[in-house]
Amino acid sequence: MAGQDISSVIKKQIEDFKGETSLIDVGVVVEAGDGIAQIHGLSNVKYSELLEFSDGTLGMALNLEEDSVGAVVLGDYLDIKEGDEVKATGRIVEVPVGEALIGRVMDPLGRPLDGKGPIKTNETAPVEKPAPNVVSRKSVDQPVQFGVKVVDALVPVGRGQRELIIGDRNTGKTAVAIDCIINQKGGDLICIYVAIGQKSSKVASVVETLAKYDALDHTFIVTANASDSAPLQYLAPYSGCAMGEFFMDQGKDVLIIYDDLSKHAWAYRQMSLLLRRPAGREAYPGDVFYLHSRLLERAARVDENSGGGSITALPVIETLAGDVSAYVPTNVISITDGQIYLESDLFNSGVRPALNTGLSVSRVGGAAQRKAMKKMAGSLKLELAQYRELAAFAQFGSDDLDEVTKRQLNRGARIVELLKQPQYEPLALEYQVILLYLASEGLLDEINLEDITKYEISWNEHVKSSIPDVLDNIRKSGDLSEADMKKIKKSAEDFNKVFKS
Amino acid sequence: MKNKISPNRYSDAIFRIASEDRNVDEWKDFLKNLEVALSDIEVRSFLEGPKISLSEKIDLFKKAEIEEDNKQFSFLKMLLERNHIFMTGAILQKFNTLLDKSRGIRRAEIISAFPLSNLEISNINQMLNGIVDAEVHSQNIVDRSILGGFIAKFDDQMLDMSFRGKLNQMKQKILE
Repeated sequence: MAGQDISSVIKKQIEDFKGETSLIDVGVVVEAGDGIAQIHGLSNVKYSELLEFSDGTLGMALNLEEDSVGAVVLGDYLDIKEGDEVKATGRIVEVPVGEALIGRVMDPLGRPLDGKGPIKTNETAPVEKPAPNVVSRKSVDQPVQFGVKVVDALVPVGRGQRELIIGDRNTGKTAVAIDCIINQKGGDLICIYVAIGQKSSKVASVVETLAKYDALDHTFIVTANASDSAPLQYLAPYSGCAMGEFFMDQGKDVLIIYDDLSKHAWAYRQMSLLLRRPAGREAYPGDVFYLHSRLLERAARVDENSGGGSITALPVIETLAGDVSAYVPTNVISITDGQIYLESDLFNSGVRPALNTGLSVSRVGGAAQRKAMKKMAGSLKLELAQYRELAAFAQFGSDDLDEVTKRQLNRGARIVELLKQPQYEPLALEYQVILLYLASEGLLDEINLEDITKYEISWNEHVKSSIPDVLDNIRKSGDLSEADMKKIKKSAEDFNKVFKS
Repeated sequence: MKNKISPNRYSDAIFRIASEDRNVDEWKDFLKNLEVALSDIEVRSFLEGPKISLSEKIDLFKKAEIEEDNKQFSFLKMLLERNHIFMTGAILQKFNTLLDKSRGIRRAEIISAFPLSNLEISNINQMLNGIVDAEVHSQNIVDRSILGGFIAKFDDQMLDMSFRGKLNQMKQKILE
């Protein structure tokens, strides 16, 4: 734009400018510090209303007391002094919503952080919103394909479900979530990654990864980093959810990842203690359960009358030394519809994703699982359970075991090996089904354990050229017919001969 | 949450008593006199002094010409008993607000860049009367930094008609 154009635009704006004159509520800061301000006045302010400090910083009214208001500062609080004037904006904390969000990185107030210019949306939505009520809900009936074999087979997640990803630090929690986002490429699921209290470098690498795998076309990121103020971290998941609800209301399916809610609880604990609310167990305030339950209740599958969209929530919880009985983990476990439990022992022994198949469950996802996968998963669960039990005995020496036991151990070891999967390499449903079919039919029993990975890669290539019609059938019908099973078996027997030689 | 005692309880109670007894102005004068007396540092340190016993404090008032069976005296005794005598100023302020409210008056500070004439103030008052739906009594304060126009400040409400405010609004609009 030329200099003249800019000046004419500004001139026009000045000419058209009409100031607003109405009575506004004001107050005076009487105490400020640690991101909290006590404000005298503001007698008509509402709970969680946005406040504007004299330097333009925004705040949120939280403690409404008789003649003062306790507010948290959303942003830099070092410039706020005692005696500063505070204006009420009359707006409850809200975020911009719309299609323009997709592909962007923003903070919990919807301000862009990726340097790609302003986010142009016409609508806003309040950050806090009641969850869809009982009448408008529908049970889960469509799957979210993670593209991760072990998850899709053993802990299937349906659209509208809340599935917790829980584990110690460094067990691949984020990796599972990111794989799921990458697998939605070309699909109809809109993904939201909400980073709460994460290192900025980690968020940057997530964004980079998503961009590298072309996943930003259906994804956006809401982030409040470790260096941001606690109130922003507190707001982040609610903002992300409000943005997701916009798409759900349009009948679209949304996947939202809250990474992670332990840090969210810490941020809320900090705020509550500074606001001098009474502390309870582990110094969390009394409403820390409600903090997460009201957030996760907003994940839902709504019926056709309400638009028919869904929000699937994948909250992440980081445990300390595997302690799932700590306050926040137990809370979130009880709110969610199941958990993906990742273990550091498994991770270190090379089982990645380090999913503990015994402790991971999905309470509703089975209803949404594709038929073909369901057929395979039933026997798989049993085989793995038996394997775990026998493996515990067999570690004392396997020489004296009978043939049946040996065969079961052999099969189990191969299944465990088969369920391993490298990061960022999601696998389509049809390939997963065929692989699991091979395992359940014992077609992998003859393959050396260390060759399984190699086998899988060349088999997938082989399938593509030899039985493409079976792949098509599974993809379209979601089922595995008897005829197709026979074709797979025949093809595998041929392939095994070649592979072994 | 902070466990703070608010002076509002006292002012609400005495305003109700005063309205029932129809001696609001007497109470107002009493509170005013008490505040004036407390502005003397010696009186204040005596009345607030933790080492001085309650009976000594009350005896001082008995010596003064205050009837003992008076409600005002009882109120004073209660404040002393509870060590809340320091709240007097706040109680008076709130009492005045309640009084104004009952009489349909709102007090405003008119901040302007230059001193306003009486006529200008009464014009502004008239305009404000319509906006807040009450009789506005105002006081002029000069603040050069608002550049022009005026700001009317009620207790915790504000009407910004200053040039500074308008310029800020315009800046925000253009930035949007």
